[in-house]
Formats: sequence, C-alpha cells, structure tokens
Amino acid sequence: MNVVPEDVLKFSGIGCSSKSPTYFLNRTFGFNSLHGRMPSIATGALFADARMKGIGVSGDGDTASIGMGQFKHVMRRNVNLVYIVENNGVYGLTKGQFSATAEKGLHLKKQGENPYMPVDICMEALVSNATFVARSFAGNPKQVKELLKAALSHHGIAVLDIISPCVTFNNQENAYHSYAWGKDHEEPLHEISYIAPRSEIMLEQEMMDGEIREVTMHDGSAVILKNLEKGYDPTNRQEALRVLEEAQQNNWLLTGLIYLNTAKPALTDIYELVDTPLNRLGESDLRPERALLDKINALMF
Amino acid sequence: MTEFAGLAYYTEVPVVIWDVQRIGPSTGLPTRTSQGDLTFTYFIGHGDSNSVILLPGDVSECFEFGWKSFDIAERLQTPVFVLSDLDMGMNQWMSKPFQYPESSMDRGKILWEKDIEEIKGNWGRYLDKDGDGIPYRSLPGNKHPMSAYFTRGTGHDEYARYTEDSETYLRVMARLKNKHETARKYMPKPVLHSMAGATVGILSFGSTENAILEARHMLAAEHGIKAEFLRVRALPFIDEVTDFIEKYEQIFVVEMNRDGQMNQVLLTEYPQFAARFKSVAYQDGLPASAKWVREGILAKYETVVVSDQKSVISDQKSVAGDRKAKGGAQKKPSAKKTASAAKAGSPSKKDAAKSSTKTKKPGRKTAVKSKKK
Repeated sequence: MNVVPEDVLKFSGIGCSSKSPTYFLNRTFGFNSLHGRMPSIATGALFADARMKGIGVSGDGDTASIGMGQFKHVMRRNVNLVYIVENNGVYGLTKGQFSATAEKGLHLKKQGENPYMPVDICMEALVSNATFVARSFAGNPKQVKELLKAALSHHGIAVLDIISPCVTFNNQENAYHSYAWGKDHEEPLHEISYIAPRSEIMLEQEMMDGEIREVTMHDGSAVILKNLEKGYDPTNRQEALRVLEEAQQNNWLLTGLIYLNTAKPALTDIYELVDTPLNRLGESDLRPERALLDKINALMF
Repeated sequence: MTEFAGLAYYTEVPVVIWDVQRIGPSTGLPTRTSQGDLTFTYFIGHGDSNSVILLPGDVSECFEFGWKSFDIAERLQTPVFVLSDLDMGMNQWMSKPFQYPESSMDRGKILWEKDIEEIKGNWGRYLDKDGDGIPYRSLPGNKHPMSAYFTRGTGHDEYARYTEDSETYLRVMARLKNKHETARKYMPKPVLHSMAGATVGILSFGSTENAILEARHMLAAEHGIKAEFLRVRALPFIDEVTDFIEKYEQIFVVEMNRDGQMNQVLLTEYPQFAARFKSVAYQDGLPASAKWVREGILAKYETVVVSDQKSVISDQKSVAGDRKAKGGAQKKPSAKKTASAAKAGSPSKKDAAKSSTKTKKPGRKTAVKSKKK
C-alpha cells in the first residue's frame, strides 16, 4: 500500500493490545497514552497536522469499559483514524478477569461465571454513527489483512473489532473469543479483497461466478466483496444492525465489512483549517495585530 | 485530569490548564468563589511531580497570563496551571486595559526537518543537551526519518526507549527536578506593596488583593500595624518571595479556603521559616472583604515584646490548647474560628484570648506598639 511511516501517527491506550504500536512502523511518531483515553490524544494530534493518518490500537477493556465514553465520541466525530480493537474478552495483564465483551455464561477457572451481557463493539460503533465498521477473527489472517488495507484507505473513523484469542486466559474450546470456537462458528458475510488505487481490477474466475459487490474507497482503491450465502449490502446501516442482532441471537461470529459510508466528511474536514498544519503556524500567523487589541480595549474600557 | 497531568509531566508534553476556582469539593457551592484548588494543583499527579502554577490577581493579569502560560509551557515542556477564580471569571471588575504582549511568542526547543538534518539526526527526545533540564522535541508531522519517537508513560531513557533500569529512572527524575529549578527563571515576579516602617508582612495570591490593600490601610490607620504586602504570582517560588519572607518575623498568609493551602505550601518550601507564617484563611463563597482580612490578621497578630523564641512558644501553646478544646479534630482551628467569628460581625475576644495566651491582642481602636528587635 506504500504507506509512508512519516505520514502516519500511532496511538494506543493501556493493556496487552496497547503495546502493539511499539512493534511496527518505527519511523512513525507514537503515543502509548492512558487507559481508555487514546481517542482524545489521537483527536488532538490529528488536528495538529490534519494531513496525517492515525492508527490506534486498543483492547476490549480499554475500549468497552474505561474508554467507552471516549470511544463513542471518536466514532461520532469521524476522526481520521483506524481504530483497531484486539478483542479477547479478558483482562490479560491482570491475570484474566472478565472484560465487558466477555459473553454471558463464560466460565473461567478463577473467576467463576460471567453474569453480564457482553458489549458488542461493532454495534456500539454503528449506533454512534461510525463510518467504517468491520469485525474479523485472528484465525482468519487473510481477511484481517484485506480489512486492514480497506480501513487504511477509509477517510474517517474505521473500526476493526478483531476477535483475538488470549491463549493464556481465555482460549477454552467453548469460549466465544477462542481459536477453536471461532474456527467453528465464524460466519463471514463475504469474501473480501482489497484493490489498490489505479490498478486494474482483475476478478478471478471463482469470484466472477458469485455475486460481486464493488465498493470504491476515498483514495480510489476498491474493495471487492464476494457475497457468500446471502446478499449483503454493507452501505445499509439498518441492515448492518440487523445482521449483528441476528448473529448475537444465533451465536455466530459474524465477520467482514459490516458497514461503510464514504460520504461523510472526517472531523478535520468540517473545520476551515488553513493548509499549513496547525503545529507549524508561527507568530505572524497566530498573533493578531496590536490595532485589534486596541479596538477590543476601546470597546470595553 | 489528574492522570493526564501526571502523564504530561513525565512525558514532558506542554499543556495549559485554567482552573477558574469555585468552592469544592465535588459540586460544592457552584456559583461561589474560592482559592481552594491550590494544593490539589500543586501536588497533582501520581508519583513524584512538580507543578508550575500561575496566579493572576485581576482581569488584566488573566489576559496577560493567557498568552504567557503558553510561552512558559512550551519553553519548559510541562503542564502550566493557571488558577483564576470565579470572582475574576464571572463577576464584573474594574480593570486596566489589556496590554499587548511585549515579547515574541516562545515555542521552546522544537526541531523541524532542517534542524534534524543539521545535527544529522543525532538527538534524543529526553537528552539534556543544554544542562537546563529542558530537552528538545520534534512534532508529529515532521517528515525527517530521524524525527519520530515513541511517547509513553512507562519508564523511558534519553532516547524515549522503554526501560525499567533503576539508574536510568533516577537520571530522568533528577533531570526533571533540575528542569523545575530552571522553571523559576520563567515565573512572573510577585507584586510588592511596600509601606514605610512596616513591621510585618502579608502574603497572598489571586483576587484578594484589593481587600488586602483596604485592610492594610485600616490596620495602619486604626491599629498602628504597618504591613508590607507581597502578592505572589507563581509557583515555584522565586528569590523575591524568599527575600520578603526573610524580612519579617510575622507573615500573614491571607487566602480564600478553609485549611490555609498557600500556608501549607510555604511550610513545605520554607521549613526554616515555619514559625513566621500565620495562616489567615477563610472562605464562605463571597469575594474577599477587607473586614475578614483585617479581623483575621488581628486575631493572629502578636506583639512581640521579648524575643522571637517567646513568640514561637506562645504560638505553639495556642495551637495545642485549641486542639485539646476541639478534640484534635481540626488542624488549624484557631484560624478558622476567629475568622468566621470576624465574619459574623464582631471579633470574639474569647477566641482571641484562647488562641494566644501569652500575647496581648489589640482591640479595634487600641493603638499597638509593635516592637520588633
């Protein structure tokens, strides 16, 4: 995708997940911030230089418990940020307590049974008007890769809820966030392929046979979705909520590009920002003339 | 906010935070003024941290500290707290016209692409090149391949790399302490109101200035107590504050809160002068009045006849006596009680007598002979 490290900013909150940004893009500025408050750091930094693309990595504890408030607002503001949730249903760093995404009835050796309903991160993102919502499964790396590319091409907030089993504390065969269960219960909405901008789209024979949907991204790239069992329109928000509800009822691990809206402006687009990044503005750009203060003084005194 | 403040201190991110104080805790008296957030701000952050605090005293100074706080924060790469209060923030004030900044904007030590190219990328985010404790920084969006670093609240070395190494930690924390020393250079100087023949000092901050000036006038005219008055405008303290404290055996620390928070900070920073500070702390939500300032000072005023030693002893006794009477529930009961009595209208002679057994308190119209050595 020719991602230039200097054009990207990395962010994370606190948790196992949030250590991830130290492992990629070493020439990129990064900020491992506070628990649940990555969105506010990202929002500020991406304002300071609105040309930058943000990649944020969070976890289910970081996002769905302490960070729920910030999560909802970074969605509705449509910050130009890929928001990855490494979702495993447990607090791994503190020895495996239930997180807010753990399914009801989950039994863990030291914790007993989880009595609460889980938070569905994709559903929360959707009702908060996120413009790109996807779920994937770490056991399906091809799909993760294609969705990541599509998310990077999106202009605005892109949520990737990646079910990422914690092999230490929550990988029992019957657990929602485990490899075994995920492999058995994954219900992909479609097969997804990412096509970089300007390259000619060549569809493989097997894809041409199925029902194909092409979605054009902000940067001119395309996402090709091959529908599997049912025709699914990822630009229909109501339909997106319906399939998530259906998946919850039937205990499916629904994966794929659940929702996409490329028409909404990103946060910094709706402000009349100057072309120069805000953090490069100097005194001549920022300090009003002496005459203006005289005028203000004359009005008041 | 506390967690972010501590993070900003340790990661050295400049930030300006205005606190227009009202009475706490929690919602407190939402429409009433206060100076009750001083110690909260002074000690803010988990672990060891030092705060830079600006203390404007009127509306014009609020304007001035508006731009100055950013200069200081970016110069020092640390949070700067500005403590205004509800009286200045929401009530109508007489004010001098706002002054146009006399100095240029200061963005501090920032490296852009050409700067990093010049030093051939040889730099570290937390490296103290100038010996003043202030490192250099680059900003996100800088396209030089050597410009980026990783900011983290976890232990880090001079190159912003993760470490839990004890010696590195000690080194970084010592540099931050050194930076706080450097901070003193950038603090606005206090405002001194001198008075010929002054024998005591009054120290305050913020919006209480006018009330104190009026009270000071009454103290001189009606009680013969002449006081020099210093309005502190920033923390950490600078030499001018130390010089003032060294000058007087009695310094009345006037502030709008219950526990005498500026007094607590002074006791921490100047333990060698602890006996000099006399807390005149009172708050009921209303802007400071000359009346309570005057009564509060009178309640604590000691006519030192023999020696410093004696005044110290009598002061200690009064505190102990009061604690006994109150069952030790309050830290500085005499200050609050006499002040609230004063607010109610008349200075309670009983309280005055109790709070200082060995010294004579001047009555309202009694001329006082203030004999300092």
